[in-house]
Amino acid sequence: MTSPTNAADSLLEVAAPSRSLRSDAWRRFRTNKLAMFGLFLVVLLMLIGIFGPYLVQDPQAQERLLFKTGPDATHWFGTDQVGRDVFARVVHGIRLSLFIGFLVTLLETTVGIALGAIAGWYGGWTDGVIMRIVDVLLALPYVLIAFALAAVFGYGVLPVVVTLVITSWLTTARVVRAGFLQAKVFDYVEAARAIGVPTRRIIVRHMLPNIIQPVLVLIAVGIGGAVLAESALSFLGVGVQEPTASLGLMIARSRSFFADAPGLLFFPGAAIVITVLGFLLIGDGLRDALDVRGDV
Amino acid sequence: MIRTKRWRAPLAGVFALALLASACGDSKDDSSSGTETTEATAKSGGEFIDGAQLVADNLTSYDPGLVQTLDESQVTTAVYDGLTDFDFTDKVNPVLKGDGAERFEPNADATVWTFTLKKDLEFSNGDPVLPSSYKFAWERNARAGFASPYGYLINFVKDGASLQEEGSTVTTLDSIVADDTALTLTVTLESANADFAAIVTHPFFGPLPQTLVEANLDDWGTTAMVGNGPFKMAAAANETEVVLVPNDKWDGNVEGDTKPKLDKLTFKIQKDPESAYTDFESGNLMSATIPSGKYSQALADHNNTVSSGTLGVYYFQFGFVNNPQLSDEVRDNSLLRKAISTAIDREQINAKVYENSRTLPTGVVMPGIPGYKADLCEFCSFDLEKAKGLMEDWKADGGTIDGPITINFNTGGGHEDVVSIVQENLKAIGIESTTDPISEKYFGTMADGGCRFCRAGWYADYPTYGNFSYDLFSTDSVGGNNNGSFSDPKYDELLASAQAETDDAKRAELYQEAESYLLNDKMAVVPFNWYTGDQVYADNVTGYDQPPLGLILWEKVGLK
Amino acid sequence: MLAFTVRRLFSLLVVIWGAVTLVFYLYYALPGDPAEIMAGGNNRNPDPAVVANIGAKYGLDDPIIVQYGRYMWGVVTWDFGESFKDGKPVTDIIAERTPASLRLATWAMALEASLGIFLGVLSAKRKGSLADSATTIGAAVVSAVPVFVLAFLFQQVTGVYANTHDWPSWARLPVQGIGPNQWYLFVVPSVEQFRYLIQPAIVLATVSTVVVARLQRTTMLETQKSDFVRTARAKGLSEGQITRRHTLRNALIPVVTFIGIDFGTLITAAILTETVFNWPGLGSRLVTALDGRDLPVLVGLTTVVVLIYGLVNLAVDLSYGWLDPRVRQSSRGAS
Repeated sequence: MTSPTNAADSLLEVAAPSRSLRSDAWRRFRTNKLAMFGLFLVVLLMLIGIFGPYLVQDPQAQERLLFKTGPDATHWFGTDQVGRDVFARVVHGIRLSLFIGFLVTLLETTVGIALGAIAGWYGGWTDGVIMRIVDVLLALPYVLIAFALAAVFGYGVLPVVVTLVITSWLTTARVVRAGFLQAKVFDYVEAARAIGVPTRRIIVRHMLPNIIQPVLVLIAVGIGGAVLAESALSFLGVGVQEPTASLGLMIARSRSFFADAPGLLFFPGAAIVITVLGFLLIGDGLRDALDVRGDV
Repeated sequence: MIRTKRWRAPLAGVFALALLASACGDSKDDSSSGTETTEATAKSGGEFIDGAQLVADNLTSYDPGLVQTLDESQVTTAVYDGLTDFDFTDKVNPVLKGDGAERFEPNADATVWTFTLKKDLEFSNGDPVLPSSYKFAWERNARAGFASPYGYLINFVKDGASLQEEGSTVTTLDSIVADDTALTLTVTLESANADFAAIVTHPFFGPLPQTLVEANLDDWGTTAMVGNGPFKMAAAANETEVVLVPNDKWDGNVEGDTKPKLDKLTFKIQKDPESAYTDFESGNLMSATIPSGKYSQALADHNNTVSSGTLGVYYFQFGFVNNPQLSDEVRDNSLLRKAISTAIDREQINAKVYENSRTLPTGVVMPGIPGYKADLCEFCSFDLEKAKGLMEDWKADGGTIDGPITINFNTGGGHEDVVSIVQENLKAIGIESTTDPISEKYFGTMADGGCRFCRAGWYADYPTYGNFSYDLFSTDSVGGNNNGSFSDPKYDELLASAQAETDDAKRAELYQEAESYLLNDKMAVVPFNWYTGDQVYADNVTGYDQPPLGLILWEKVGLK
Repeated sequence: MLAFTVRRLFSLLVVIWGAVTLVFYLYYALPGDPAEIMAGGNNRNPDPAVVANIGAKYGLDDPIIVQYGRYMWGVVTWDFGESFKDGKPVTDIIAERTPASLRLATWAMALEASLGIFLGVLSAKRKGSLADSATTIGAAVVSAVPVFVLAFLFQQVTGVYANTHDWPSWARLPVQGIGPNQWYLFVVPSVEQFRYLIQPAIVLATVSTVVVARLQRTTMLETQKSDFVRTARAKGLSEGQITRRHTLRNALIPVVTFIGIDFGTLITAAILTETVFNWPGLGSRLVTALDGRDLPVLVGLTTVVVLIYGLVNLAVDLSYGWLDPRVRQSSRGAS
């Protein structure tokens, strides 16, 4: 349905930053070698995470008297200290890390955009309250929150996900808010408000595009950050427990066997590094590609 | 003694390593040997920096009335000597000798013991060690409000239980008579106990300097405690280390040592065995426990104590309260417990976690304990078919499992891997399980009713059968060292009759009967392995050994 | 400026109050029975007598509002009670542990700032060159490695490997602890102390050095294109003079701000670093308290951490406000 205001609004859109930004950005991204490499890594890891677990051995099955062996034909990454196949565990670990990374980022981005938009759009008291909440949550190390939730929910994926969501939406909200504050004073936005375009339409068609760039970068970097944070929490003992295969947990246990079996540290460690690196490179690439300010 | 890995023995070191005698007999200064110490004698002096004994999570107090773990005992027994002590010169046949006591004798039916103290013994500050020092200490340690984990030991003494009762106003026992002029301590027991003189080797029964302790009754352990052992505290213990120096008022031990060799003994408190071992390998510590997974490397590269036999058992206990899945609270589940015990692949665990350094058990009690009988337990070796058969029998009898069972254990020390293997073993007979790792206050939490299928380890406090039965599985020990809260009147009865029996052979039989009931009837306990030594030490260290009771005689340790 | 300061101080107080209240909620109100948690944790059936004792001792039976009042009073009067684990007064623990953490954090920030800025300037000046790409890739890889893995690898190389392969003693570093704890002017370590300090400080610094470097590079490149730099170039100043006089100073502002903001990440990374290196600071003690459900210590240490975080942010805000008058104006509407 095209009301007169909406029609007028569409005309105003012509004056707004154009959507051709998208194709420009993609071109720039495509030619950025590092960014494409990051994309390649991430796609590879996702394939491993999605299909891998169906193709590998049982990550819990223990060889009876074979343990801490190096890579060989049956066990591509060798066996761990109780005889489990390291390759299978790494694959399952990648799946878990990616799952948590994506889930956390999906939830925190939603919350962050919602609250950041509200704060930026309405300003005043609402903004003040939301920003105070952000400040308070930023002041607490997430470890604290994780342990508290673990005491209530028990150890496992749930306290990790909830903790990371609670602590990650803050940056997203700040960025979205800043974007909204900036866009609110654009001529075409003020004009749209003046002619009475509904708020929802303004936000969706004029404000959100303004924040897509920084938010996309945050998403990419955020997934990597969530993977690192989850491994840190597993390392501290809050998070999934043995015998679940988690990269952080595998690394924590591997320290004891480093002299005999360094692979127990390097394989899961490399998996984490590659995962985070992939997302970091994509994030950097996005930042460069979407930056409209020219020849930096 | 309870411990995460090692149990502390309250015995005040009965090491009879002959090394010391040959090493520093004379104090002639042998300057041609290029000694690096500035002391008068070659081969004595120097500072030993230990990284093997104290792990932060296992430490609550060094107070002799409160020590519970082997870690804490290493310090306490260096600072305090007791009435008696075991001479382990012959490791397999220890001899109980008087340490603070000149003589110790029971009456005809072992209901009254008389200890005659040596003359002119002093604490490190010059206060005399008198019978009243012992009486005071026992009564102070046994107070109900003090909540000593070994408080139940006072039950051996007549009316001792009255001190332990909650809210009790009793502060002194007439059954303990201290005659400071005649230097005798006469103790009337609650019931006949031929082993009482061995039991008083425990630090709980050591002496305390009355005036000083009275000024600090409950917090004595937080001060630089004054004692009568080979060493004294240079300062109060803190979070990073405990520093001891030789006590020049020490009267020697039961193995003939009269003077410590070291100038200074520093225990560095470790976060965990892994970081301690790394520090040892970096040259910053002179001893460390071998972490799980490093045995072959440690044995190849360093001096170690792995070949020392010790009197300790690593086991899991079934919780008998709040545990309807596994206990007999709702129905008799002994078949299920037997199935579980038979399904545990002990060889696999020993191979993977301990690199075959431990000994596979045939019961709770091990060789070296008087009365030990081989192959006592029928369900303590791995037999998958037998286990499955037992499961079938149990199910046919109406047994059902309604969900995963919980396995409790304390974190660190390689237990995670043991539990992983156990989980797979249980899966093989159709039992799912979840883990419950606990990092602090583990034993207290278990003893208070938290145990489902919980890990434990016990080093003998003194080499008696009773220490592996009464202290661990009797009704009296519930809330103390009985982690699973196992309580069975028939078992208690068997123990009581064994304890009262003065004939050694008959006593052994009765204890064996009790253990057989415990394992083959009730299957309340699942032994996993018997401990062996597990420490490494630096190349320039002499006299370092883990005796059967696990307590190192620090007076024998020296530096080349 | 004064009004600005007052506004900021007020914000700080609100944040501290909020954070401390949140901790109360998480640890006293949220769990069904904090006494049970202190006694041994959920689902472990601690002895009811023990739980009751704890409840009585810490007043956990009182209505939640009374507990909260008592809790806040404790925070305000700086009395957090005693550790549940060993009875030690929490204020003593704070006094013992805070200096170690502050020293480590200061050094880590100094390292991350100097190295980060240096790398950033280098990349900016040689944009597109091998050095630039190498820095970018290297930086990305290092920041992808979990802190505890990096710490462990350091220990293995300079501790274990160095010892087994007989490296000279200056190349061998201690793998844990704080050593002699000798400091001059609070932050300057003695030579021996430096050997204990350097590894944890480097590891801690790696967490953010890369971000600082990247940020520095970006802002320098942007500043270089700005008007006043073009003017300077037109006037005939050399590149070096331009860098020194104009670009660097203006580019420093956002980077300095970032370092201040990043302090929060530093705290969390410090928790992990202190744990691996057994550095006796607030972070490692906090983990012990969390593991052992030692609520009094937890509350005390968290309050200190929040306070430090708040003060650092305040200092950064104030100096930023002083440097850039525009900020003072804009903060009036929202923050």
